[in-house]
Amino acid sequence: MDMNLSVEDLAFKNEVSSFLDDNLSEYLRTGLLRTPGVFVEPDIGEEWHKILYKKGWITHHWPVEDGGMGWTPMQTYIYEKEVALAQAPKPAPISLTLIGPVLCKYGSTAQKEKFLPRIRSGEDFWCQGYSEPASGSDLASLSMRAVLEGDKYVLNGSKIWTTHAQHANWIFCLVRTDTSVKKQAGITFLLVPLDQPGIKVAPILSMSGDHEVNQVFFDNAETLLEYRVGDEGQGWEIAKFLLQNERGGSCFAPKTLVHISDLEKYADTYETADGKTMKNDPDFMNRLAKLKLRAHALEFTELRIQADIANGRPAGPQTSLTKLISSNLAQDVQALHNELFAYEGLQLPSERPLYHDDAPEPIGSAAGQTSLAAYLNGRAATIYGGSDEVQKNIIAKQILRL
Amino acid sequence: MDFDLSETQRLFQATTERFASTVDVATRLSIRSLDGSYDKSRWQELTELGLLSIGASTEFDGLDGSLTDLSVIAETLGLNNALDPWLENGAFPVRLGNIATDDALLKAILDGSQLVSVAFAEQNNRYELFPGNTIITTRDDGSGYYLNGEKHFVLTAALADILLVTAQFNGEFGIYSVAANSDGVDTHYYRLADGSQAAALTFKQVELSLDTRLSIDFEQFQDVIAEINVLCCSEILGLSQLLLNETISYVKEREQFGTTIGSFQSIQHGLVDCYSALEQMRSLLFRTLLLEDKSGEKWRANVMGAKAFIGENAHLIAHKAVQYHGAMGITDEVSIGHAMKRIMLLSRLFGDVANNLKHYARST
Repeated sequence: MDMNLSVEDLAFKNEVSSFLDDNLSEYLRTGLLRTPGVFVEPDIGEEWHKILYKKGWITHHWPVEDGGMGWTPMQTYIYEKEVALAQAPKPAPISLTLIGPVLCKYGSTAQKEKFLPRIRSGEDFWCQGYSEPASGSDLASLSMRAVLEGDKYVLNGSKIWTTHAQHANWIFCLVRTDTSVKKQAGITFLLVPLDQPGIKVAPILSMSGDHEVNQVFFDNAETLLEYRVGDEGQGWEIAKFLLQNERGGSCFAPKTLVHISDLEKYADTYETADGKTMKNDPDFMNRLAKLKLRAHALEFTELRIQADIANGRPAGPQTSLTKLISSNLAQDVQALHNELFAYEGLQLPSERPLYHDDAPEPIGSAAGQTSLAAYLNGRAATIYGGSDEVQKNIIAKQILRL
Repeated sequence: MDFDLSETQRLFQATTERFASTVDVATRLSIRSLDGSYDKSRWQELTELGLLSIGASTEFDGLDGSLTDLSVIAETLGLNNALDPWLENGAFPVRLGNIATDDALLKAILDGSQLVSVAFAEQNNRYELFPGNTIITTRDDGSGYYLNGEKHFVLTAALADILLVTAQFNGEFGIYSVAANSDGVDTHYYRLADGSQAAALTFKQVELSLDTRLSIDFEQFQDVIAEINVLCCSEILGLSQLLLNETISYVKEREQFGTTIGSFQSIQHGLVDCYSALEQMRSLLFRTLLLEDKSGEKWRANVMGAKAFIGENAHLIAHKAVQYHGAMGITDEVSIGHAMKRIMLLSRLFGDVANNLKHYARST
């Protein structure tokens, strides 16, 4: 057992951190810090996207032949960790982490040639058509229909909780092409252009006041046969591959540790009536300490998974474990963060974005102004990408063999 | 022994229910988009129904209602997810007016002509009730006062006609009645968790006449805060009951994996935990309401303990309610989030769970 980075890894770490130092502007940093949503706003994301694209790192995690960097799992972890420590935004995660890898693995040569360069450059912005009003945790029960007519699929139905559909120009959809077989076997994976008369995007406001998700309605919308990924009926296999990427599992802890140390800093500036700061409040600091211990433990749970992967042992359903632990931990950090700001933590401005000059002035600190919205949005972390209940079922079945 | 409501209390409950049950989520959102984020005609209606005079002394034509009477109203408002600031702009100033025996103030509140906001919170003073940065000085000619300083978290301030401002006068506690449109009052409005408009206020040489000081000392003020804290508990209890009711209905309807999600043991057990918490919350509220001596340090500590317990359990229920509603629970389109946000505000009003628990632990 050892924890030492190799000489190469250490050099790599330094390369990444100095790149971040040199390129991550104050505007981008502030933009991310003052965004209470789950996803970075497109204007912040796009600017950082261009910088990473120029550097060649934007699709580092893709296969080398499709534009990946060929980094080792440890290098990928190091990169993710440095990004988290620098508090850099994560541009277009749906394009880069979800649909990109799917096309690399399952896409035809023509699809790869058409779509991958536009994902890398940021020209296309994708959204995800998975959940439906009646199909959430039970995704395989989805009912949106696609019927092949000549060289086109005709689509009817609706998708919901579609993040940033209002900014996207493409959507990838799980659709039902066969109702006569077992539910998983009748699902197909289609790529659909959003800008067409048969598609309507309706906003859904979150309780934070953020507009991140939408419902997308398909009324005789169309897409070409050549935009089908894999075969008819192969959609469920692709969906599961994508969900594993959505759950990630590689690198939640460093970001959480940064949030905890930020919280520690705020605690030291936040004065109470007797002129002391909250850092002198033993109860508050005990609770902060407990969160820190959970985050340190999570960091090593993640590192142990990394080590397994590096040593040729597949990670498997462990991503469910880290997703479960990290989402609950993140929520508890957000709750304590909000508590620190007392009355100021109850402000909930409806204006967005909050990093522009015309945003309302915060009451107290800027960190207090976004705290509640972030906390409220954070409640979704134990729901999206498979709820806590779903993750626990997976762990019980696949790890504990119950 | 009997924990049932009296005939009169059932009447208060029915009146409140009739008033509050007409606002669904869509209506709520449209009211919140009005100037000041509230419909003042609702305030007029609430006053006419007598929901404010129940808490006033008989000498001011009130009903001299007990804290339990008021608790029934607060709980019913919670159960209906009401957006009316009955607690913070109604019961709170009315109880202050009772103690101060301020005839003019109570009259103005009870006939619905004036909306009153109490300005008690200051930045860098956390939950301390004794004012730190708001200072009263006497004018040189002795004809009145100057008010200087700042307050924040002044609730429903955009619609307020009168501000009751806590301030220091020669190091002593005082509370002063200030016309909201007075010269020297600088107002910065902002939106709060429950969609209401609060304000941060700055006072610069605001001129006050000598009769603006309410006759109320710090002990009495803290006793009133304790009463309003009990009413916070009652409204939180109603909101928690609403969350549990809505979630039980939802899991009975929502189908996934070919069955209702309420048939899953994990969800059943989670909701049993919520039910158990709710029963305990109600019991501790009743215990508090039935304490005989409702003044002094011991009473206040008991209230803080109850509020810590009730606030913490309400958060647990709210989190489960959101979780079991899935993504729908995150939206502003169902009552779940609105109830959770109001719970956050009420459980933090005058001090959060940790703060209340600390006081309780120290004093018992």
